[in-house]
Amino acid sequence: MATRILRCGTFLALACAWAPGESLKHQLPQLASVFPQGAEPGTTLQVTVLGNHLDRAGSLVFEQPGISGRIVRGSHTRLDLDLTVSADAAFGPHYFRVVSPRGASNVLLFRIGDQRHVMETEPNGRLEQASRIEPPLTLNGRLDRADDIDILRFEAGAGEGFVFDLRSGRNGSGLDPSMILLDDAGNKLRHSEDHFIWDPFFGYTAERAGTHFVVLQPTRGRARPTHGYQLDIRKAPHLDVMSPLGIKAGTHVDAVLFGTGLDLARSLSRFETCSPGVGATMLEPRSDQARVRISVSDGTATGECFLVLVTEHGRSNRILFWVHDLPVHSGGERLSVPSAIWGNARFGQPERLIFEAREHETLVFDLKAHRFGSPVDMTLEVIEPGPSESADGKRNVLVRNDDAAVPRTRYDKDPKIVHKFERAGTYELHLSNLWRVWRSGSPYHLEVRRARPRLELLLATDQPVVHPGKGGKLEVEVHRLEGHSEAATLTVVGLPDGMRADPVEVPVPDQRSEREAPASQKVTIEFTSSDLPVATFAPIEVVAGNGGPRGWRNVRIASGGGEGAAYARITGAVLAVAEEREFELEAQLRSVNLVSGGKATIPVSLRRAESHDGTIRYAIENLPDGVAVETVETDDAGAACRLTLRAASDAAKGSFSGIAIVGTDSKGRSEQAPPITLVVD
Amino acid sequence: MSLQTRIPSLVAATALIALGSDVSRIQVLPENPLLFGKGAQQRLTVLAHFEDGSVEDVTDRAEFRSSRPDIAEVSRSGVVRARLFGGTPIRAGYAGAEGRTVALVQRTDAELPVTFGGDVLPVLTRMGCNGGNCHGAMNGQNGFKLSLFGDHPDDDYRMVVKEHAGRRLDLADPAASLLLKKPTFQVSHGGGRVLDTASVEYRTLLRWIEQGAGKDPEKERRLTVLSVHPEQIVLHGKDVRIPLLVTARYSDGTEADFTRLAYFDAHDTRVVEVSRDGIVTSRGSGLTTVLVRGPGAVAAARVGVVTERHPVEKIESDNLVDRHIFRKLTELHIPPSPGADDATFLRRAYLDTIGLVPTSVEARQFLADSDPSKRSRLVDHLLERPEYADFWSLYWGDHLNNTKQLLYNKGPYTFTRWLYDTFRRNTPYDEFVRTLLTSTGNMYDSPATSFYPLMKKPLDLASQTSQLFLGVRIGCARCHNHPMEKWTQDDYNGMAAFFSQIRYKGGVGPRNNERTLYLEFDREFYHPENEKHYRAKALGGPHADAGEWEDRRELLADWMTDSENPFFSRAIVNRVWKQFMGRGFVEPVDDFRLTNPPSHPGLLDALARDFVEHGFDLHHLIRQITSSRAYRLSSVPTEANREDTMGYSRYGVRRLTAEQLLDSISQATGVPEEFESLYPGTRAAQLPEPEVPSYFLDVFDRPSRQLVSDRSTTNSLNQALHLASGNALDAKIGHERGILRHLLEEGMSDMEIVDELYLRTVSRYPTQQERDELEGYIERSGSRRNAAEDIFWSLLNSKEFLYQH
Repeated sequence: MATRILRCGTFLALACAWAPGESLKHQLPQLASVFPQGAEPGTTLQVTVLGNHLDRAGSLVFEQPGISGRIVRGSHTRLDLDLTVSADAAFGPHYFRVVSPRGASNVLLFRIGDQRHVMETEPNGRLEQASRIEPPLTLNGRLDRADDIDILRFEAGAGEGFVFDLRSGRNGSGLDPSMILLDDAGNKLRHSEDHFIWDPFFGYTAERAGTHFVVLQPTRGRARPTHGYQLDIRKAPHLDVMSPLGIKAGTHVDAVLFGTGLDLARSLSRFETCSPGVGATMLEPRSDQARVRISVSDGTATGECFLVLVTEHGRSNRILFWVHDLPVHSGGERLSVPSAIWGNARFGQPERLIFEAREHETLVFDLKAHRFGSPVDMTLEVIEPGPSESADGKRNVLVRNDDAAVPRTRYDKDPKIVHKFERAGTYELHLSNLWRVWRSGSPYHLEVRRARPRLELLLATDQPVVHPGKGGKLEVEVHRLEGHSEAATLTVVGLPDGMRADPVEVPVPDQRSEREAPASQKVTIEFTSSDLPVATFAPIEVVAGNGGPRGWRNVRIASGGGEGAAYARITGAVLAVAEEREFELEAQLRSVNLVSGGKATIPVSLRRAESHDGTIRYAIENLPDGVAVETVETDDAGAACRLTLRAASDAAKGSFSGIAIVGTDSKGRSEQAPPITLVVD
Repeated sequence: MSLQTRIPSLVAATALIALGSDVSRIQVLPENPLLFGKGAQQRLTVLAHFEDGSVEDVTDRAEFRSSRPDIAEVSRSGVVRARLFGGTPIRAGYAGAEGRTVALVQRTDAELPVTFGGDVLPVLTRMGCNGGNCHGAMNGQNGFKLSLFGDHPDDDYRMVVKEHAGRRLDLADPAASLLLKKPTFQVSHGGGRVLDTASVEYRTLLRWIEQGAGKDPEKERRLTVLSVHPEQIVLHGKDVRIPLLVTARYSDGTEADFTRLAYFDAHDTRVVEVSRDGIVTSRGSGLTTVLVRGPGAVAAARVGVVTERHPVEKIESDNLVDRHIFRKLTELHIPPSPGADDATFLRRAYLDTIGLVPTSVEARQFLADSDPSKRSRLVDHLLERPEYADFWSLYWGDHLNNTKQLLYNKGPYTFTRWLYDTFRRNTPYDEFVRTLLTSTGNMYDSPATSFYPLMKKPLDLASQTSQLFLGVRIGCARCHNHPMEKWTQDDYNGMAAFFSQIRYKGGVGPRNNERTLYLEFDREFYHPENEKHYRAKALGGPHADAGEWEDRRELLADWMTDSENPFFSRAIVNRVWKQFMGRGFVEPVDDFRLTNPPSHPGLLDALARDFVEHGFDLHHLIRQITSSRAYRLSSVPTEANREDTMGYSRYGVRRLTAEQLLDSISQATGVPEEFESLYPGTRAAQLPEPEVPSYFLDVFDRPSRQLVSDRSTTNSLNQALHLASGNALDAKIGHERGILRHLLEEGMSDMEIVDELYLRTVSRYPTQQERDELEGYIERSGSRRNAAEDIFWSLLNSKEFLYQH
């Protein structure tokens, strides 16, 4: 689909305008998708990034080391990059963005995997056209056209097992796919759709040798050019969750790993962990469980830790567990404070623990499960024993929590209670799961402890901009957790020379007892500008105090249409000096229908900054083959513009999204209207 | 006037009674009647059973004798009157044979008091006063409003006695009461004259008013059960008359002859008609029911009519199904059609079990196989095919509202996969239902929770659960007591109370519309309108009180799947039976009620017991049915069984469903249907939701799945045109990847191609006549390809292909 630049000699003047005086909304570059979505360490490759407002992108920024690259060519809606993945690049997701005179873009995800990476080949939409593959491998593919279906073909021996893991949503693609395994007669062996939110997954061991087909299809035909995926067919196991979820520093436990294909780890295997102080040894692998010994040395920092199982066939995914420093509850109903308790979630009658609280004491009941891969949704209740004081005779529930309000943590189903007890006494804690639990792999880790006040700094954006001569702002939400009540000072680290941001004091809030929702305050950091040129940028961090917590943001990575999305915790931001807009365009239609051999007209509106004038030339990116702009008209008042498209009788048919109308003024500044969809039939 | 004119029934009945046929026994009904109160009466009916199986009402010719006339005397017309406390045999003799019954008399010190609920209300019902077109209408008539069919006796009492300052009754001059004068038309009455002053009913009302028109709770009685005698009977010949007797049992334990007060209605008047007095007259052959109703109680009599007595070959069989079916056919003198040939059975078994016709390879193999057990082996094989799971997940998807209209965008996809896995594993049926009923979690991780769409509340779930899994439609009882069955609003609300713990949590998941079903264990059921509290109670079962942390739905599942549950196993047996035989024992298949009894109650019960004993195994049930001779009968009627619609004397013909049709056409032509965003080769039976676009499926009655009832199957011009002149067939027949092109290019002979086309479509070889005709057709056509296409088109448009037979 080529860019169609209008050479129409008649109507190149544009005089339509909105109400004068309204300021123009700043537009940052928007990245929507990258293809392929990943690579192996030690490779160089070309990738294509789709998005909007990508004109003049000049810099490519990776959040983590290991990958570098440059922008080879670009347009408003597409960038071609050359990337180099170093041999020691860390496995897993890497986040990158681009910077242009408009500012820093949002991040996209590029995944480094340990398997051989291959590209999908078309056509492969029928069984007889199926692409031959030889697993284990990682296939980079796309379902980016209406009716696009990808079928792969491979041979498996009797008893040979594989894990099939399709990542689209987890890679930030909006694609919502199905994955189906067929035998050589076309009979369905496995079918998966929404195992990891939208991504399919299953394990399979061939009963008999033969040809197998993997069918990948979108759900309900909402194909877009941004819909890519990675299909892992591997022999390395997949890990779901570990039980227990928490391990005290200075101890070791025999834990159970739950997952798929764990019997594939019979061969020599080892573990990678988050810290040299954490070690793991395989004791007994079975197909969906494995017994391992985990040792955590004294002095290992409390917090999240991960485990990766490395076999001769490859690496598993990471699973998380928690390192803590609390006494471990030894059993029974009576609980000492502080304590760490672990168990398996149960449904129906709650698990009951009895503890003592002092007058005016604040205790924290922090349950970890879902965040660590346990397939549960638990609730916590603090009960005051004794005769019920309510009219219906129900229990005296002092406080209850289902989903903790941990700030901006997406889809956190784990409960947490921070409660100040007005009276000393004996209380009960009830734990239960909302649904029936069918297997033993549903662990939880509960900490009952005294408060550890701390701050969380949430950035309103990871793409702040400063305009020349005008400065800029960055809002920060300061969350005071577990009773944090001291003043704090926020400073910005990493500013480019010539730019300043004064420290900001966060005052002590009004005293109040902390309930389920943490108290939060909003502060604003102001940047003062200098004469730094447009497109100057720098990674910055917002820090509380001296070496305190750093500001972060939970970023949604999505390809601008569709169901799937990934989430990433990005610490810091990329601050850029951005030009101000001179004009902006908007098509008055979001979708245009065009019949082969016919015409369709798109009204386009133009808004200019007060000082802006001059003619505008139009171009359209991503028109399908056979479709071209025939005319551009403006009305006498110059208030409206109309682009007329014509489709040839043999024009490509289908639904084409991402059609971008681009206007360029006499100074070479260009703007893109929000993309529209063209349907040709 | 001829003898024939005067005694038509006798003549008609005589036509079927072989001259010289002896009386085999005399039956006196009701058996062992109970008479309560001084002067209580009970009419008797005397039936003569003859050796040839016929039955005749000989009441007017029988000689009656009471052994103890001091206890109860019997008149020449067979009316027993109570005199003293005790019991006495009553004998009835006819044609040298004798039958007996024993009359038991109690409480003869005085007449039983007339009560409102037990006596007045039945009279009002019998006169039609509380019918829907009279005072039982929503607003009553002229200010006098009664509850429909006496559903609410307390309200009716208030209306009759107390409303409008009690103007309807004159306690000082009872005969002058409006309650009596209006129906006897002594004063103007919009409903006309419906009561005679000389009638028993008039005297009942009068006595009640004379007694003070009270309603003493201690003495008040109400109707609880009706029994009809005979409960089932087969009449031989047309215009044969048999009286039905109705006995009422009351809440105080008394019984009475209710025949005069009962309402009678014949379900199929082509078979029998029934008079206001309960005289049944045969009209045509078949099986039907006669509904008997009183206020708050219903009953039914099963009546068969044999108009032509055809000889029926005696069939010995070890098969459970055959023993019952052929015994009934013998009783009805309906000979079965001959057995179906192999080709017919092959196609039938495929369509009934997996929803597809066999391939030509499969057909050839089966037809060439000479093993006598091949039919049973075929069914075993089909049950293990993955298409079986697709077919039955489609069936249950239709009934479980598997549509995105109720389950949102992804719900049907996950639910369909779960249903497929369930039937692929042949999960026991009780386990399947229990999993659905007691599911928790979200629809992605626990697809069974799709049984509980967000918008369905406990009242909806009560009705749906009863209909689907118990075969009982209690929907009427949501607003008022069921007019045709014993279910009350209390029963309905008792069922709803099982579901009141259900709560939904949404908005915490990343998926759109993700919601989690969980339980609030201490949540009770309060009716949303009257706010009354109801305890959980299964239909006809005890109250179910759950423990503090107990899921009430578990208790419902326990009750439903209990081996003694009267509904659960019979309901599923009826469904599966209908799928294979074309018609359920009960129709509609989810409408079991006293007034809609099964055609073969003994067989239904036997299959249900067998099903439970075999662990609710659906495969076993299917084997039981398909291994029977009854299932393997031809669908072609004989002269003798042409009129039979309920006896299973032949296989029931029906049109292929939309999915069967499309999948069979695709398989036969070798051109799979392509559905939006589904891989080529996806069959219609595998579609997860009815919203996947397909004009073909919509034209052929694909259901929307917004109801839980069976899908309907129509025959329309649209369908015919779509097949005959639309692109549906032509595109597949002429497709470049279609089988026909392949056959022509392979160098097969004309007849080899014809054979292949026949085997692919109607699963048989052409007859010699067909061969001769088609050979000539091909020769004359001038284009081999065109001729082959025409033959293929004709086969796909033939009734033999379009129908299951």
